[in-house]
Amino acid sequence: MAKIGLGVSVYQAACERISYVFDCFPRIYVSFSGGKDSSAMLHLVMEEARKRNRTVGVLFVDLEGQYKLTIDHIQECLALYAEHIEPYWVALPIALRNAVSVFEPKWMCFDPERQVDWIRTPPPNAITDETRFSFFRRGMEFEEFVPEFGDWYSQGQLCACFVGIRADESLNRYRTVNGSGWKSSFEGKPWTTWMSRTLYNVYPIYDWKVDDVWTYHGKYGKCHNLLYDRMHQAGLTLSQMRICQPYGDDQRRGLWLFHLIEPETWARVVARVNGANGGALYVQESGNMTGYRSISKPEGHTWESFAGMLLESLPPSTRDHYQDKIATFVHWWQDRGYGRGIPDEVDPKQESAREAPSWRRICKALLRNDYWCKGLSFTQTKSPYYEKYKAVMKKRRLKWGIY
Amino acid sequence: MFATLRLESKADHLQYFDIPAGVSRDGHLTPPIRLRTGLPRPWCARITGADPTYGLAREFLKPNKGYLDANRNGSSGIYLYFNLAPGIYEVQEMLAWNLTRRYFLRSEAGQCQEISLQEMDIWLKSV
Repeated sequence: MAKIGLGVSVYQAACERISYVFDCFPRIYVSFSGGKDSSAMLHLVMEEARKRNRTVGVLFVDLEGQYKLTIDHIQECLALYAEHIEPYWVALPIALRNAVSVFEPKWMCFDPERQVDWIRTPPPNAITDETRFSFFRRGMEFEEFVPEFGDWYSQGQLCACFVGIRADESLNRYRTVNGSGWKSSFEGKPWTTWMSRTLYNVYPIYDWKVDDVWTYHGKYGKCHNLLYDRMHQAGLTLSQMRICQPYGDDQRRGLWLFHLIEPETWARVVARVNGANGGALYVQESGNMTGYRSISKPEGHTWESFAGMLLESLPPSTRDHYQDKIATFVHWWQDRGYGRGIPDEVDPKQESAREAPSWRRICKALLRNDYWCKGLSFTQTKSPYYEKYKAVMKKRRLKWGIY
Repeated sequence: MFATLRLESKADHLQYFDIPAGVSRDGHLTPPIRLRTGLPRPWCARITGADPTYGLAREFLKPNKGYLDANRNGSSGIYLYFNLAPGIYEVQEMLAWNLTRRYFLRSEAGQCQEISLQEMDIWLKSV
């Protein structure tokens, strides 16, 4: 789709959007990660807040295994705007995805039962009391916490959550911003998305390019996360510079960098997060090692038998989880023209477009340690319902006769 | 500053009924049809002035429909969320699945306040 210029610079446009949000929304908070985009956005929002003498909430979810430089940067930003900020530095036991281990597919940051192993202790101003938020329950997922926090913060009033994503970053993010036709926005502004109840997400820098972000930091002399300087020194390209917790499904490819940039933190990460060291060693590989690109099966095996062998090699709880997903996948396709079972392999183009089922697709999901089986078109199960889901699946598997 | 108004869409599952696809007597395929039942539903309209036909000139607002608190069949817990810019509004809320109440609201500085018909008349004369 062709881009249509607004006749103003992206900086001006972002300022106008922020000003509009301050005009319309009684409650405002910024979702802050310490990255370059959210830092630029925080500076812009706080300039407007200072101008209007308004207080803005700042949510930072501390994921424990983070770079020290990021933590330093966040503290610097919070101190810089202290008089106009209502900080929410959340250091609670939240379940996080660990894509580098099949023994511990999820891990809990700031787990009170493993306090001696913590990578770092939260700062004194962090929220560590589990009763602070009425909606919080131990082990809830990060993806559940963030919208729940928004609802809680809104207090029934119209509330805007500033999110520093850019359409330029990925197709997914482009879709999030340009969701015309399926999403509901505030007063028809495409750079907003209705989330739930009275909460809207706002993307004021959605049209910025990565160059614009750094130009802004440089031109206006704003503080930035020094981790990016280290990454630049390590030879990373702009698109490779990611700061989020590095054990996720997509983020794990940057795990090798951790020990180069912050060796002192890395030692504690290895002790704390199952599989971190192995992940850092092998995550750059493709093929059967990580399930990236093309995979191959051992001599004398079919993809189906190979999937069985891979399942046998997994710990029982993880195996059972994958068996639930595979049983659902196979059964779904059985009802849709594959009554005699799914084929071993089909045209790779059809497989990658998720148009046809095959055991090779299943093997790929297993080798990739795709825990939620997104490659098989599944979505993440909400954590409070996971136990119920397991019980339902147990009955269904018996009924279907699969596993 | 905008205010927000939440209205429950009671018995939302009874708002429509579906006639499935089938074959007519003369052998033609008939497509599935969704029909409105005509039961009352909640709404909110901004009053923009007087209207010679209807008394009040109104702009009906499009709400966001939230299912987070809904029960399984959708008979309760479905809420409509309206964003109200500063101004005067007429609202129809549902007290029960077939019982409604209409009233006027003033939205100001992010807050809503119910106003009487007399207050509304005074405002209408002033515009």
